[in-house]
Amino acid sequence: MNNLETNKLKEVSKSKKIIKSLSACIPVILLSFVLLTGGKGLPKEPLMKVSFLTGYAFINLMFFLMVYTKKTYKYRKIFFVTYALLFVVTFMTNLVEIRGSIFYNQSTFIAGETPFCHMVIPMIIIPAALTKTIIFPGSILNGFASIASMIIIWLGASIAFGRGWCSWACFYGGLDEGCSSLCKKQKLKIDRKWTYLSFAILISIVLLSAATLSPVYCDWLCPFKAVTESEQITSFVTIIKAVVFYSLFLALVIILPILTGKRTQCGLFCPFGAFQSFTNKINIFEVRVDKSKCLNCKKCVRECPTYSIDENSLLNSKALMTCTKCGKCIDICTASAISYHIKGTSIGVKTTLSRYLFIYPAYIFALTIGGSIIVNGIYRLLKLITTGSFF
Amino acid sequence: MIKGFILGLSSGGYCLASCIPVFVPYILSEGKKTKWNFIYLSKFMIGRLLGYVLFAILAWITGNFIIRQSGYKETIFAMSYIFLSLTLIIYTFSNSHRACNIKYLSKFFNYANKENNSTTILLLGLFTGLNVCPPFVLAFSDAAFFTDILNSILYFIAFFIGTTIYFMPIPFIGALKGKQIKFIGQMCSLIIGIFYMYLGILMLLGR
Repeated sequence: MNNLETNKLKEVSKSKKIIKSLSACIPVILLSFVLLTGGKGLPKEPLMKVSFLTGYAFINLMFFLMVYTKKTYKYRKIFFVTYALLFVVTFMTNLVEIRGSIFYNQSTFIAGETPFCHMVIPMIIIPAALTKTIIFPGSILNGFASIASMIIIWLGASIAFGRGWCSWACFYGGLDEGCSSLCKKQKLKIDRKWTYLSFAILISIVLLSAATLSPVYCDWLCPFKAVTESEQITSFVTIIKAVVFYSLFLALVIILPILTGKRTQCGLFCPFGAFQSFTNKINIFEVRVDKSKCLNCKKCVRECPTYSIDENSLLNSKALMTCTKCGKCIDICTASAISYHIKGTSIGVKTTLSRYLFIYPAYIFALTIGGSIIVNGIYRLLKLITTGSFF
Repeated sequence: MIKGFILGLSSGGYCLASCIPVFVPYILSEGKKTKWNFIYLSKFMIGRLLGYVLFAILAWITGNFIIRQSGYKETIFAMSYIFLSLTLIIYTFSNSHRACNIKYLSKFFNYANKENNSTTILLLGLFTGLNVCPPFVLAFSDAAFFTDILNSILYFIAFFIGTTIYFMPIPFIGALKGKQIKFIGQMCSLIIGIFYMYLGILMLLGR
């Protein structure tokens, strides 16, 4: 066979692969169209139409590349980081449009205009059980990010993907992941025992929320207040709170991820992530290591962004319960020993099928939450470019 | 007395919520069996009862002056928060100083680190008992109407017994054991200690 024939064969197989990948993307292409348009057809406003088409193309391109290259982590990360950045743009501009400011005060609380965030879920459990009150001052059913809608979304995601929520749907995780990607060479190592900190914070805030009947994490510790909404500075206490929020954001979401190459906020601090780890026990997907293929190079241990694989877990041939199913270990494993796995099936068998069975619902869920955020974010940015204002 | 007991029963959930941030990290840090946790619970409860009685006596001696003058009340609560947080922080380091290699602190923390030492848990109970908790304030405003101190103290004891029932399941956390759980418990004690310290300082400054 001469070179010309080999090249021709390669091209044919490449086109076949593209067609195969495109066919595999059809469900996502159709579903994303329905989800993004809400079944109402294309938007009429030209700028919104451009934003929609850009967002739609981006979402489907990422999924196509995930299928075509068989690399989950890289394209999920691009989607996830874009989603997180555009979430900040959409959320802040939306608040300004609805409430007139990104700052909240007592009257915002009383009016129930504070959007409910999934971070509050662990904190509301004990007070709801003991005192039959929901300690977060949001709206139960109405408005933007109501309590009921967020709890239903969280429940669905937890049953389906467990802590996969943290790498596919959480609108904060992408910021951490984006900064950790900027680290080309690890400059700082953090002892693994600090991974228990998130569990300690979880227990502390759950107990303190029950004692004070207030969402302690949101009130005092949440680093993402720096890029979402925060309390209006009216007193000494609010100044301290602002200092805490911005310092934690700088340290945990920007500086430490850049120095360590790890998602330090998600892996070491986030109480919701720790809480979500327990849901990994009840859902069918997990990340497993095929011992017969494993070369014991420990690249996965070094590279895991959330410290979810260690020597012991390798011996047990599975990731720890804190695994966010981001797919990094699977993509970097040179021996292809790590794969998405469905509980109850044999390890290392039909790994491609398991991967598809995981990434289809995970990506559809991610675009259900993130799709409209991406389109709206692009719209706000285009509006800023064309008119000089977000509104 | 019956009224006090019923009030304790009806509002014990709030009492439990107020006390668990202190007690749960302690028993997690100790990492002992359930039997031992019941002993710790009884010590914590004795401390808490002492706190209640002390506050009742203080209120009667001053002719309910400290209750009517919110400034004094606030100062007592603030100080109890600060002492509670100090106890928690000292306890955390007394348990973990070897791991942390803070050798120069070992002499200072040696006493708190003794096996079967009851002081820490009694102090935690005492300062928690002195802290403001909604049912306690309710019981106190009721007790203020009694004409003699003995009736008032008996009322508080009955209230205390009513609330204690809610604490019974907590020692079963002893089922969770292990090095990691102990470490998490110590971290919790420190975090909660810092939080109470901050609350106490803010209360003291009147913010």
